[in-house]
Amino acid sequence: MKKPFGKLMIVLLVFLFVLSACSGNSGKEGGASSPSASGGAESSPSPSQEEEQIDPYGKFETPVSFTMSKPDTPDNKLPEGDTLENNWYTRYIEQTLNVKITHDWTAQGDAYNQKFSLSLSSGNLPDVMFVPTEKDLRSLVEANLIEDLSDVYAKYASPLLKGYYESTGDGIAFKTSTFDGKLMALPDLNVKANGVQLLWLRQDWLDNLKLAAPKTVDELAEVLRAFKQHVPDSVGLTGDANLVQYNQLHTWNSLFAAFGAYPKQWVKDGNGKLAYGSVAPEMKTALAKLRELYAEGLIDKEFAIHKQEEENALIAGGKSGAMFGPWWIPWWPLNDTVKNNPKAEWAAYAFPQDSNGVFNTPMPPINNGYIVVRKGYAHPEAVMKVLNVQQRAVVGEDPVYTAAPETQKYKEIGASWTNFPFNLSIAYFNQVEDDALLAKDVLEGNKTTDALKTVATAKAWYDMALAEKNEPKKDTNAWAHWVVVNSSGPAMAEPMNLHYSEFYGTTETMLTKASVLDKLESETFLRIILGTSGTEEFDTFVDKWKKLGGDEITAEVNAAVGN
Amino acid sequence: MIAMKNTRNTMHYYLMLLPGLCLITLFSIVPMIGVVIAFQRFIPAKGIGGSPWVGWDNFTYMLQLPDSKQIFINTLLIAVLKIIAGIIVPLAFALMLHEIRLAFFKRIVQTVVYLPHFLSWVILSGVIINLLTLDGVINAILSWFGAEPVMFLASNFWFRPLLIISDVWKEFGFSTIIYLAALTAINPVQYEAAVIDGASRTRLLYHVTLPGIRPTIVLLATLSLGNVLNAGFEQVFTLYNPLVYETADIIDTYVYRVGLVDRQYGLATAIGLLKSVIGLVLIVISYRLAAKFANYRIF
Amino acid sequence: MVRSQTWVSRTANGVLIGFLALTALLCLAPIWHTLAVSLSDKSAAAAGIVYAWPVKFTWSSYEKLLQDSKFFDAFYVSLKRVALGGIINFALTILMAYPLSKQARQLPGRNVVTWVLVFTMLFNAGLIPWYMTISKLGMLDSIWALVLPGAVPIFNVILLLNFFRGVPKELEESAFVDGAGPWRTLLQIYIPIGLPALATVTLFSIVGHWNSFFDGLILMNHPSNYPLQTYIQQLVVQLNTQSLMTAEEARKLMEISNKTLNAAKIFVSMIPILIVYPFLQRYFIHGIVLGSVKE
Repeated sequence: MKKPFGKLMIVLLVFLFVLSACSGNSGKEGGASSPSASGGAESSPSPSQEEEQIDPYGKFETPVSFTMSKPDTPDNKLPEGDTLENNWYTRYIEQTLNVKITHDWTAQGDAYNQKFSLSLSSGNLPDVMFVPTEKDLRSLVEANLIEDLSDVYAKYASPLLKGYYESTGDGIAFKTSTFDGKLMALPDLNVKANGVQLLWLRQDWLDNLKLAAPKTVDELAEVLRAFKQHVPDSVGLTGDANLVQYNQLHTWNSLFAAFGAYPKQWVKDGNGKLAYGSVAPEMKTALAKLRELYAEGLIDKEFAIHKQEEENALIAGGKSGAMFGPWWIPWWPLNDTVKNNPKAEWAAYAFPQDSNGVFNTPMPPINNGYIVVRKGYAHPEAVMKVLNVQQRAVVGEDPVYTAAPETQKYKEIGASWTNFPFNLSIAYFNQVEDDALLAKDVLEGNKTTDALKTVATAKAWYDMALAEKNEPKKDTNAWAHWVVVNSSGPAMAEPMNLHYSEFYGTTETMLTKASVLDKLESETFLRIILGTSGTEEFDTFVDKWKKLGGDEITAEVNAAVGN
Repeated sequence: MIAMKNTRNTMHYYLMLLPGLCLITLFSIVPMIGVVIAFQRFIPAKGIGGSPWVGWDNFTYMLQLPDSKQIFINTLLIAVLKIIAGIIVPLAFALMLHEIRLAFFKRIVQTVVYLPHFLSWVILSGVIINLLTLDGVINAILSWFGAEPVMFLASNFWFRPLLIISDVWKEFGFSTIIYLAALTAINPVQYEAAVIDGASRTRLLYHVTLPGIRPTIVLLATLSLGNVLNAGFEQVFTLYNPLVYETADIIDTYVYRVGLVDRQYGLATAIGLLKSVIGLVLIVISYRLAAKFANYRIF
Repeated sequence: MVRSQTWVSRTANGVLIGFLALTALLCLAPIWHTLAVSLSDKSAAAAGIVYAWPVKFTWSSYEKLLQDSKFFDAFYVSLKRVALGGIINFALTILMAYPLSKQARQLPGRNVVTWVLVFTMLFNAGLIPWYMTISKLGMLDSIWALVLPGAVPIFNVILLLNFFRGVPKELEESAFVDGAGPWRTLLQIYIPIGLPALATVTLFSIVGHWNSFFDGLILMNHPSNYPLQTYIQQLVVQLNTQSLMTAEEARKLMEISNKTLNAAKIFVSMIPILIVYPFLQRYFIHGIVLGSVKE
């Protein structure tokens, strides 16, 4: 792992040192995602038996059951007669463990969150709940409504599962689910792939223009300029009125980070105190540059009034050749570009870099959702075991499950893993890029297909990418796999600085003042970029921000982290 | 005899009211006890019993904001203009339609104008954004007249008129139906008598048609006063952006954004209560005025 | 009615018709656009190049829709809701409006009841108490949760009571003299006379039930019980990409963000209303030829 030493870097990297260093190793320790360690992976369930009597995958003698609230899967594809509550995955769990799960209620997305609050307030708690936010988890803990899972985890969690949780290093995986040293929830993991934001460019345009990928913001400006001349009715870089958002389309997280600016995150200032990224001086530099680009017509003139759908249309219609987005966008919206114009090519880059030649990308909090157990539920160990079995199956470590005809059938129709009881996506921190790299190696003949045998996840990438190689652009799904294997996967594996906020919570003053401050911030930033306000407006904003509660919030945040 | 019969009738009237009143009590009045959360910082996990009391904090919160004046003005202005347009346009449209005697045409027009009501704002705002985009239809028309293209949705001058116009566009078919139904209740004999007297079409309008539906107009106008602080969350939310916060940020969108930080049910309830109180006061006033000056009871 | 044949009048008529037709076209535009999108190629629609005519015409959205059993399940829930809710609304609106159209001296407490209605129309206790009430009554996840809380559409009651008040007293008095009680008077005089108003409020309550999505979202515990608009609402709200890990999930995005299929669903969801509407319209276009309404 490269360790860049810029002044800026030292400030930014402190929290991350452990994480990024560990993530380099984790794949090797983990097994499933890394070819080199694959030999040991097959026998992973066995060592547990010698250590203790408890079998993490052991079947209950008498049937155990629990009710739960479960997020629904959008556009769920299941064979006729199967449901979210009763499908091959749940039947497999029941067969393996003798655990029967019924759904108290299900809903999807925002509706789930809302219904979750409502069912809490009416006091009817199911035995097991999926908790959508850290805040909700905190209130459940404070209200003393959920079980302490520390012992259950220590005793019953499978080594495989523990391996995944430990791949983040240093107990970071449990940072938000531990209260007073007690593990109150089983969290999911926001792995690297959920944070890294890449620069996507129309590779066919770059090639036509004989341009190299732009390493810096200035080079990016040149490329955008050239694109504009190349395709006169194009609009430049796409954007979103929410300038930064994690794992979303068109936002500019990595673009700001190239200036060392981390809006909406909490960063260390020179004195070791925490400061709000949106009011840092780097932000002013970044905004001034964006203003320049906008004035020159290198950014979509209407990005601030467009919704995602309209910006996607620019991409799909070949009216824009540059956007920022995560690794998965080949499926949406890039697939439509290719459908409309088979000559189109997209490629992803871990660019632009900052003045020290480092690509920075802001990261979301490590956890995104939790499974909790109602206080008083008799069999918390059943919950743990279900997760063990689920995880073992999802990552392809249970030969019985993998070989079952139902599993194959589900694969064919594209049934989502979220039909398993728990919507916790737990992967190795580097899984997506490691799998993609492995598939790429095999595809290019650097490794034989034997390397894929034990890594089911990488095999799937390889198969689809191969299909694309044989019949280019026949199937957009295969094309998307190909792009990830060849472009966005490798780009994510480039050395980079994953920038975590030093604080993700909510303080007392934020409850009352944050909306005022956010409004002021988004208004000011957009006005500066669009040129309706001068760049000096930024200084006024910083003053106002501090006066209207920003100073209080900063003090609270510092107090919260013990500064 | 008559008195006895009256009492018996009255009993039947009560009987008729009974099922409806029971349901209203159950689903509207009993839950009212829950408005106490307007005085709490309500935390779902703790419930009504366990959430901390905060007195009038939720009510004063909006007033203490640095931009509370802006938000209230936006809300009031947008809502009032919508109310006014929402009375005049459907009325004018219904009257025009009333003048048409091609039954077939009348039916089709009436059906069609009601259709936008069925599309959600999520869908309609997509259509509106596309219409108003720089290379959209509206700007194309403007360019025929030599005008520069306008970014309507980023313009604090245009945004409010756009809200009013698009709201009328979506909803005027609804009230039009009520007016048309009211128009059918005017006795044709009155028209015939007026025509025999040699009245022109305009005179008929002023002396027969309008007086005939006046109660309906007054009724709809009064009831719509209840919406004096409802500027239309979904519409604003799907169309606005930070550039037009100055003219478009309304109470509901603001509360929504507060809720993003922390789902604040207490605040939402308090704001809802405040809006209802103001709406009720206006309705009572208008009811009294109608009773006093026109000697007419609205309901 | 009047039939003026002057030249001026005819021009005025022409202008009027032209104006009305234009307005109607403006209102038709978004629906027309939705239809055009639903008949277009998926990627063309995503590129935003579909306006008034389908681009690369295809029926594929409708073919897909026909295979979508969830859509039709939701359709069925909505039909059930409209039938049940419509009938309850219809009965209760009449039963409330008729007594309340009487004077306070005929019905002591009438004014109090009316004001209670206006009050409950304006005030609601908010989401949480509402949800808790329905939850405590054990109605979550059942069709009753969708029809009973709104069983008395107060706006409609007020509209209808105003209409009933316009009915000449003499009609009722003569009915009473003939020995008819309030129930018979209501059935034989008020309902026939009130048909245009009844058609109007029925339309409103049907459309209200058909269109509402929020209660379905909150009060149903299982998406299989969602009514149609709730189902559709779930399709068009922004996709959740917060944590997206596998190619399989990414492919899901590709499928869900299908603008043409969603457009087809929206369009098909409007068809029942397009069928019901003209049927009800008969009553308020032609009006009533009973003669003596209003003094």
